[in-house]
Amino acid sequence: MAKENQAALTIQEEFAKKIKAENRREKIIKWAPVLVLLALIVVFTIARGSAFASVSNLVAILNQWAIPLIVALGLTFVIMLGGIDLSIDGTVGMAGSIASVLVMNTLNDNNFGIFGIIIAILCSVVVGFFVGLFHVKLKIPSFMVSFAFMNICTGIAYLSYSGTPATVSDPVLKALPKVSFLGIPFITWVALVMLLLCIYIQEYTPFGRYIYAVGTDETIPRSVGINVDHVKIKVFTLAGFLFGVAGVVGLIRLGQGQAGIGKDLMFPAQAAVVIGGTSLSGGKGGVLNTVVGTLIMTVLINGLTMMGVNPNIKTGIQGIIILVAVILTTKRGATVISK
Amino acid sequence: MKMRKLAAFALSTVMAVSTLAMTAMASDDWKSFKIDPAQIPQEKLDTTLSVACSIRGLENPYINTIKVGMEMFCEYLDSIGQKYEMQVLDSGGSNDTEINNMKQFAAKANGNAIAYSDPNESAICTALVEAMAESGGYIGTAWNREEEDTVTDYDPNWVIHTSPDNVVNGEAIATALFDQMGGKGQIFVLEGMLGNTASNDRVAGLQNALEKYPDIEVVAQDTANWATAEALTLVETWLSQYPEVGGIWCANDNMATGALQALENAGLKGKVGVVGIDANTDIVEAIAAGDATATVSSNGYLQGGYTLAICYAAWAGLIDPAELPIEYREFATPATVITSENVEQYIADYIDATPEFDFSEIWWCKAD
Amino acid sequence: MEKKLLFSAKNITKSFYGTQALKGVDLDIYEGEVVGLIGENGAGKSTLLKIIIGVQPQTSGEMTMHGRPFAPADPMAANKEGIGMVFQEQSLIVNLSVGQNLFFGHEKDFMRMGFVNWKKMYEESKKVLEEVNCGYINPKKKVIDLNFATRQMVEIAKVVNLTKSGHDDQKCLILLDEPTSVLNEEEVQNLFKEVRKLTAKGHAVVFVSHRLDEVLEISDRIYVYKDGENAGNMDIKDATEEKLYAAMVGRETTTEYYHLADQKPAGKEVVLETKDLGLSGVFKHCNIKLHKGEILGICGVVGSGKEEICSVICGDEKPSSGELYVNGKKVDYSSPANALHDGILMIPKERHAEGIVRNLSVADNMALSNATLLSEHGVVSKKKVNDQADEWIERLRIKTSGREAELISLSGGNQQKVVFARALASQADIIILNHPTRGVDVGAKEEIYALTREVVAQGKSVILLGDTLDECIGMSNRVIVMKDGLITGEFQADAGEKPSQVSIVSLMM
Repeated sequence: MAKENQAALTIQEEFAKKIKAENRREKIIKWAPVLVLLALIVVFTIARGSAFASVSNLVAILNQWAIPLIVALGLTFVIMLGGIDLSIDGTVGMAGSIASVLVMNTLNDNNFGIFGIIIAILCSVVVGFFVGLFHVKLKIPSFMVSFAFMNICTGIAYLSYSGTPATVSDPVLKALPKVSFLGIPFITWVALVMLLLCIYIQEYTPFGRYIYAVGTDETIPRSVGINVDHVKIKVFTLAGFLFGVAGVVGLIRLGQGQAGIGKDLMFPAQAAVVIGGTSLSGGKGGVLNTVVGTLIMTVLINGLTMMGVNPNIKTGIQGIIILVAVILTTKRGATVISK
Repeated sequence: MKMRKLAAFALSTVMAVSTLAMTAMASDDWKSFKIDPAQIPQEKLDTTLSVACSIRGLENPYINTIKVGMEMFCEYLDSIGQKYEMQVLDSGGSNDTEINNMKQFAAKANGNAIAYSDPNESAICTALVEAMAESGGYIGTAWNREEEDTVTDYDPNWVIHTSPDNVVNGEAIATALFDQMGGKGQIFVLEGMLGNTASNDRVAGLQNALEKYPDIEVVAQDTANWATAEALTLVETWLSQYPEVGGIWCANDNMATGALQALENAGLKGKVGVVGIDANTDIVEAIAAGDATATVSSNGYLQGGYTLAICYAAWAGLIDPAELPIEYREFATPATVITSENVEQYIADYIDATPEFDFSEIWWCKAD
Repeated sequence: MEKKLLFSAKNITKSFYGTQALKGVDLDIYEGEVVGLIGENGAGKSTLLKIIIGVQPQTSGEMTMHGRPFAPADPMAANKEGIGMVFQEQSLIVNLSVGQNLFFGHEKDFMRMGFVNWKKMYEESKKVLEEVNCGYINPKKKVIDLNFATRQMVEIAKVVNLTKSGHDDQKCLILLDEPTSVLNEEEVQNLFKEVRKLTAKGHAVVFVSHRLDEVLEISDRIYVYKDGENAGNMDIKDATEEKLYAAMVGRETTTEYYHLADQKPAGKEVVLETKDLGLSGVFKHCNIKLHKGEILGICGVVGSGKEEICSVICGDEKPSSGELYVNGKKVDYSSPANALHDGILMIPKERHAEGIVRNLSVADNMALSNATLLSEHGVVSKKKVNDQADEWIERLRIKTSGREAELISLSGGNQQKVVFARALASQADIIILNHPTRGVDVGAKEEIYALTREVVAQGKSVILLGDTLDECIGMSNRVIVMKDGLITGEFQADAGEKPSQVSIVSLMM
């Protein structure tokens, strides 16, 4: 009997050890995205030296980082829920296009100024709300609903300027891309403000906690009386808001409203969120992970452009590096068998 | 060559016995051919004709002018009392979508269809034509097709294939840019979608120009996929690396818009030459303001409208494509290089006013 | 001292889709006591707990709490009445901190100017943790960084805090479902200390466990459930392991039910052998021999490692130590497909999740494992698939509208027969039956038993994980008993000389 107990203890100890090893692995993985980012910076600095690490390129990187960051922030909350939002390309393009025809522009006589921008963002918020509503109430998978909305919004974007993109002529908006404060470009400041907002939501509101909980296991928040459906709708609405802001920032950056503002934002954003360490299955990660993830993507693309890699193979190289980053930064495989 | 002879032979023999209400004419007389509504049978006029343009996406202003060209032609159909239904087939840049769109359109119309198509890539050109040929409708293509394809492969349904000469246009804007730079300095090159014929041909034109200007150096070259935002990002990055750049060659105006914005943000607008193709309004205005150097008008109104007009004549039985000389089925459409010299005139004709066309003279669109 | 009744459940029944999980059980709990609740798997313990906490409603029967009628709509309602439960699968949100978990859903109490006042929440958390003597746990730590024992204590703290919210003098009832399964000896003792502290304050605890020694140690009173019914309620003074075993085990084997007349002695030839097989952290030192024509039963509670052994044998999981021999040849499987190639096939437990393709027809489901056998020149022969289906539908008397019927349209028993047919048609020689009669009605059960006898009569061998102990003993030629990842006993079970259930249960728990 005594011998038996001892042996039984060994199995228990093995189990404990396994869990400990897993936790340790998880902790290392937690820092992997930062290491990947540093590695990229080091490699590009060695390869392109002064050009890559120059002030003007840092400003370029900050400029190029702003929109992916805002978009990925919105997506982060959705992914933390365990959902997905494919509407990005459409909503961002729509918000930018609508804003462009409402502010002073070359296409029509509108001049609603800041209200035009607010209306454009509101449109995007409404889209986010409907994505959430249809997903929750009609029980359609979020990727399906949001995919449909991507198309709807792209259509609205085309309609808004009916073929000829409006170039912004509002003097304030036109000046903004050149404005910087403390060396940081205006649009990057907008992104940083959005980042602060998201940190506040994630860390300092009950809602932020509920997002984690819903993503981990819906039954837990349900059992304490939290309306899980409301949490989901709110998350998609928040994402819609951020996509709208991204659209307006895109308009400011481009100086011209077109559906193309949102083009090809979605998959890099998904990749950035995942590389940052937010799990696609939900409940894990957060906005700070996404900061690192988007920086990795931005630096990668900027660096490869600088290296002057042959365009025919550049996309492929980009893909390989993303794959490596995902392998290094995400937890894979079976977890410990539940006992 | 053989084909052409065959076609000429066929033409002359058929002409002789033709019961069509067609005036017999020599090969170069086709240029003055006019649609005479009186010769169109009433039953044709009463048949609902499906009219479509198959394009890559309306986000591009040039492509939008093609759609407008179709609308203009439809107004002409109204004027002669032809019943019709108009449709835009938007592929969104996807080969599959474009083919499927065309198949559905053709099947639905059951032969009573004419279409303008700008194949997304050369490889799918014949698939689009085939879809139309099977249903008995008439199609005219523009820009992209494989070199070995020819319209006579699908007589009579593949009526025409036209294209502005991309190599010439690419070289023309490059020359304008290099001249402005004084024949020396660094340039950036923004290509269109990789593998796209139009982009490749325009870049080939650029190469031709580069050979004539040995002191021009390409310091950065990449694809921005025809897109403004991608062009902005690339130029932004390159500018921090090569602040001394003297010019930016863009394979279309959408990308030129992005390049201009990057220059604006860096405070270099007006100091670095920018050229593109398509004559987008904002680039034309930039040329007028001295911020951009040159662009090319491929005249989408003309391409869209006249291609449909020729297809219409075939459908209505006014011409038999199989009998046409090859140079009236495969030809270049006129293109205008816009620089500071002629920009005012262009603005007056095409931007401040909507151009007007007489679609009864169907071969007016042939450049000579 | 007179004991005050805290909670009472009378004649609770619960049926799921026709099967009765609870056939009318009672449970009385007095203030300040620990009540042990034991029974075999499927005896109804977890079902009753879920009814008490409001996760699911009973089919019939009454409950009272504090002397008032009690019918919680959801766990929150139960919490308000002072009942909290620590679930077997933990209900903490692992990426949140301890404090955030303790007050999850109650953050509004800590809002200040639009911000959650984490400082205040952590101070409160400290108090709550100290209440259950866990002041050593840092409330700012993320749950994911805690070991299971500590997580368990956090759960208990959370439950205690929830159940007393509002009234400090309200007596609570805490339900612990298998709380010790992830704890080591020392941690178990710690838990017991906390439990005793709680009961000293007048709260009551229900303790569900497979480990009889622990139940005997901590409980004041023990209820035994069997097949959804009360099988005993004894004071700790009167309880002994032997008495409890006797109460837990059920009806003795009936000869016809398991077709004992058809039970043939196993052959001598060893078809499968494990040598010191182990899977890190789950089971160890496992030596099993399976003979030709033998049914080998493996008994053990959930978590004893019996299911994982089968996973390893059928190639689903890689062993971390030891060796596996099939027909005398050492094998090393990397997937179930490898194992199937050697003739080993498992009929999985979760039929719906793993065993069948619901939207395929009966015929296609049967052909899943042997499609290559039925194909000619790489193309599956529709005719052969259909012939096979017709043959098995007739042989197994599968009730279906035809071979084209979607599997989902069949009853549970008939679905299981289809799965059987697939296994038999696959020409596997070693079949692992993982709870083959779960969720199947009595008539279908008997047919499945007959079928199993037929299978071994053809010279195939079977490893059986029985749904009940009775079934395992009744069907098997030999029974192996496992506990905590080790083999604790082995019994011959020839027809007419079956081992007693008590002797096996005593080695299981």
